[in-house]
Amino acid sequence: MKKITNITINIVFFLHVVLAFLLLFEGYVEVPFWLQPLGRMHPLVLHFPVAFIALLVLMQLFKKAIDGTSFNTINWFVLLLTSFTTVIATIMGLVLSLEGYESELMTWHKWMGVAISFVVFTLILIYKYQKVYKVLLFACLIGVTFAGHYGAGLTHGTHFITEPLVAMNKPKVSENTPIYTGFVQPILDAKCVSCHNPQKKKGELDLSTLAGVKKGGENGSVWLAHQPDESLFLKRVFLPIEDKEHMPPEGKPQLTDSEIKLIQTWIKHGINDTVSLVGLQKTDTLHQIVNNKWLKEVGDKIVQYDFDYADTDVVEALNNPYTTVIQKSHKSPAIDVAIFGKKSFKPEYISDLSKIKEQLVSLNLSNLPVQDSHLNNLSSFENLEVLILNSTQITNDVVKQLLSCKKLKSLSLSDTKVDVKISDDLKKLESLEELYLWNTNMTEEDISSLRAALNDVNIVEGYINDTKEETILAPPVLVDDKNIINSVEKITLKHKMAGVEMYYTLDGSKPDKNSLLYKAPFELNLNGKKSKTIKAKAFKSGWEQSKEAKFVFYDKGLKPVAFEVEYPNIHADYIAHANQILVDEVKPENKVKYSKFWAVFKDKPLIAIADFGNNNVVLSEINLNISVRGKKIKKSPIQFIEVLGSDNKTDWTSLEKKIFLRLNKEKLKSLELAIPKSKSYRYYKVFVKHNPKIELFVGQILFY
Amino acid sequence: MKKEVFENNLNINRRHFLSKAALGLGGVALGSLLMPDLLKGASDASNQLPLGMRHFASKAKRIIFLVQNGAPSQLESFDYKPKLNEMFGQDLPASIRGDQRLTGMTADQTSFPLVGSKFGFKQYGQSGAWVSDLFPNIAKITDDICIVKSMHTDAINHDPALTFFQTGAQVGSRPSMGSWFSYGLGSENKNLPAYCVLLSKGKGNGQGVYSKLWSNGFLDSTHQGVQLSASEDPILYLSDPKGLDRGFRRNMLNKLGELNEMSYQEFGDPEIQSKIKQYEMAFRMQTAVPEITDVSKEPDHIKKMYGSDCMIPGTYAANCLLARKLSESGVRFVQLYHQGWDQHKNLVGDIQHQAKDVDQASAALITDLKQRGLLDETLVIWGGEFGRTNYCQGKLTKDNYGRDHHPRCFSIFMAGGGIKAGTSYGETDELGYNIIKNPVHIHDLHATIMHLMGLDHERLTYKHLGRRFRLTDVHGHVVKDIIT
Repeated sequence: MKKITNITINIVFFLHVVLAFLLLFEGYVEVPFWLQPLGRMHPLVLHFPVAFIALLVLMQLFKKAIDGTSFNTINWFVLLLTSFTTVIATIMGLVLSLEGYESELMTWHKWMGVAISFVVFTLILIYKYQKVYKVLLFACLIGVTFAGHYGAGLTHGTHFITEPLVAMNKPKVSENTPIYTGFVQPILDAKCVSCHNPQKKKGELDLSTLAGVKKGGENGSVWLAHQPDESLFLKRVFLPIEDKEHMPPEGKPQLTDSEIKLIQTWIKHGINDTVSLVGLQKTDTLHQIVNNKWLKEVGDKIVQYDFDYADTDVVEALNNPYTTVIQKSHKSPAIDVAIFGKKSFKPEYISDLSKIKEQLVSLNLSNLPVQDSHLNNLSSFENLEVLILNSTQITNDVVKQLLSCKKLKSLSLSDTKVDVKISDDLKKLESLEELYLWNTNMTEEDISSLRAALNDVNIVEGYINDTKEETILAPPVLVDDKNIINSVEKITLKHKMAGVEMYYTLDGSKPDKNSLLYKAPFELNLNGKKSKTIKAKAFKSGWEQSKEAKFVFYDKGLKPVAFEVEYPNIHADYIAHANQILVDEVKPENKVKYSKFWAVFKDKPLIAIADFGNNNVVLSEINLNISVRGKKIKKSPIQFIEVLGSDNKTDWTSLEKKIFLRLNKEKLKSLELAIPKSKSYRYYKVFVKHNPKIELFVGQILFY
Repeated sequence: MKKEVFENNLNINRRHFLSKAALGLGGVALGSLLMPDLLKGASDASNQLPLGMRHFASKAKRIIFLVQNGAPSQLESFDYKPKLNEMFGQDLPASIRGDQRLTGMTADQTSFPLVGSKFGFKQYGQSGAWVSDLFPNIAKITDDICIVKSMHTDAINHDPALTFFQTGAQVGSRPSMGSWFSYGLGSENKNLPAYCVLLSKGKGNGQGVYSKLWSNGFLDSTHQGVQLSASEDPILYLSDPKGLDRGFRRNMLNKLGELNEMSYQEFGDPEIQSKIKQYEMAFRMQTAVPEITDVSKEPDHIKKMYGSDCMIPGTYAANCLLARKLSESGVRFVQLYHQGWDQHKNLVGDIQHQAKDVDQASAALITDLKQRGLLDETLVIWGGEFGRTNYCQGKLTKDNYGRDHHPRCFSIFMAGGGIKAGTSYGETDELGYNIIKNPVHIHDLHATIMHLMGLDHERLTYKHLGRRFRLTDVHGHVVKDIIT
């Protein structure tokens, strides 16, 4: 026994050294995460010292009822146990406190706990001196009571015990609550009353009741009816925070802007403690402030859900490339679902959602080929709040599925085939607040009758084109921009609107409704010319005719079987391959920009080799449409253009070369080079050397 | 990136080793308690919330940002200053100007004659918001928008100011706002990029728009903004080559995916994984995108609402319509840039074209979202990078004037997504030079936008070059007063 006693005392002593050490170096110690659970067991372990200390006291009280030797043995044993558990609980508590609790309450709790631990250890050392022992033991009991109370205050909140009593009296704030009791007094309670209360009247001021407020303090009345700027209360609030007179004092929670605004307006209104929201005109500033800000904030804070979180694996499994299932936030079990992709839609995407039927609060199915039959499980989504069914194939019957969705607040049926007969069912959706009905089968009268039937619901019918003003149509466009053709290729025009008629001319005259009507892709005979112009316009009733669209078509000439470019350009902003662009059969007409129709050459020249296959050809002309961009330079932006011919791609014969000494950069739109008659070649090389200070843009190379 | 490769090679590093060993060894307990750095990694991890989910429940899910590139004048749009008309031609008092630096363009000017708006203002809607006659359509929807008249910024020239507005820093190379949202929330529709960019250009004096404005900065490259082209075919090279069927493409991607996966196992470079994801997304985009970019099925009256320009690719109206379609399809962040607002001279003439370009389509976009019940979950932001001076740049005549850059105050408006509709926030002095009430800095706006999207701007961070970066750097306060 003696040996065990010694070991125990040594251990307890060691633990106290650790405790003292921790206390000394508290600021430098950081708790590793795996020790945190140990700290968090503090609330579990602390019950031992509490009970043991109480037991020691009890034993002391009933000492005489117990046989002497047994008492001593048991009491000593319990004392050792007490000290051991106390120091353990204290160390754990310290570890827990390092996780970042900081408050006055915490300080009290901590130091009392530490003190108890050391006192209990002292009890062991002075066990022989029974008188001192008794005094210290009783002090311990008192200490443990307080430390316990503060500790409980930390975990449960200081008002934990009295809470049920207070909560019963807490008034429910509504439109009928006097503004003073509902909103103003609570501000004072929260920010002022801790110093200005009947017990602790700083400056002789008590702000805990209206009577006290009206009475004022040592500097007289603090609120002057209708005179917010003259009222001492606000004067003090508006002083700079460094000012000694500023209230609340520096370091205490300050009034927020909206709180000040409310008090200001309330004083301006005349310090009337009976006036409530219903008694005020809607235009009254006080009404607006209270209604917009205060009533709302006090009334419905954050939406709280009482259902459980969905299993993360279930949520994970429901997500697929076309379905997005996501919890509203880390702290909210509610789930938003959106399904995308018209072509990829499968009915299972919706039926699978039954797995989260409780948590589903927002569902977006717009633009999907959804029919009523896909929505059989809607009725099981009892917490659904928002449902978006825009541009789907649903009918009036869909609402029948929704009757058990008691929380549905917002329903979007825009761009669907629902009509006014839906109204009877809609009436049964009690919590509906917003209804979107743009572009449905409802007339204006239908909407207004629906408005009358659904009184509380905000119905949005959306944009209705009420002006008879005719908007101008967009001009027709050429599909794929393909404007380099031969006589058998067809030309396809397009317009983005249904019901548009396109008329065109081939002779350069202005198109009108007597011109040719575009019905289907047509062939264009160039009649041996190098280019031909089509002009087209779009017409539609109710719309102003479009501006004229002009398309110039070019003869394709000879098309190489293979084409390569020595330096297919790579530009910082985009990458495109010149060996495709230069022969893509699109000759860009629009302004030069980085697009898939222009090849760009910066420091390297354009060197292109065209292969015309086994049937050698004779070229008479080449044509490049080009543009240059860059600094103004005195010399020509293009230095020369040269055409060479070869049969084997190694021995080249120069056929023609043109050197440019001066070229007007602005007018530079194309380069043509006529080639003197020569023998036929399989390969032709085009060489354009430009001034490297500019960028050369080339749209197309044509060979004739 | 290097770090990841390195770690993958070792497969276990010091931290892993120690944290694993420590679990088994009670003895390390006291040691690590006294040497806080020993297991430091843990406290970092607990601070960072997992990505892809909002920090708190909020209304807004998507953003459409209508960037009016070049800085539209607040004095001709939303900030009505009749006093300036009264004081026409008088010099700006030095006391008002204070120590405001000037641009190189007006620094040499000997006088700063005040000039008021040539265009009239009226009050609209229940909110009674003042809107200039240049914006008749936006005037009709004032009850759906919140005008912030007290924006201010640090930069005085276009590029730094725009970069600041987009990325929260004046120098480039930081991630753009859209990239941060892509990083923090991911894409709602997994078949489309989370961040799309659309460009258009007005007739007025244009300022550069560079791809750095939608850069992912140091974030993973999947978060980069995807610029759609201004053509009939907004995403280039998306269609399969002629003669290639889709099954073949699928097979090819499967095999390619296997090869990439092998490569990833060997090198552990996270960019390989991004690449695999991008291939897969591109494959799904092939069907998703044509559905979205096809505006031919839009009802006629919708085309009228946006204006006929909406059928001409590359116009602001077409981009607004496309923005609605993209946003409706779950693109987290759609960003439009409309160039041409930089009216140093001939403001009276140029601003009319510019306003005509954007007024109808901007209003139509908001109306269109509203009638589909989507405005609640979509935040629309309209604004330029800074404001314009209340004094004239260059020659002041009765009929025409110009305005220089002004960072001290400018107006923007926002709609939907939990913004308090039908309100105005902030005030400038009667000369429209300084803010006198409720200033909103760019950082504050960023913090507010993030708050509306359910993100805490102080907690969405990315560790790069040894420190944690945020969109708002070390600044920003949420403007609670404009949030419902």
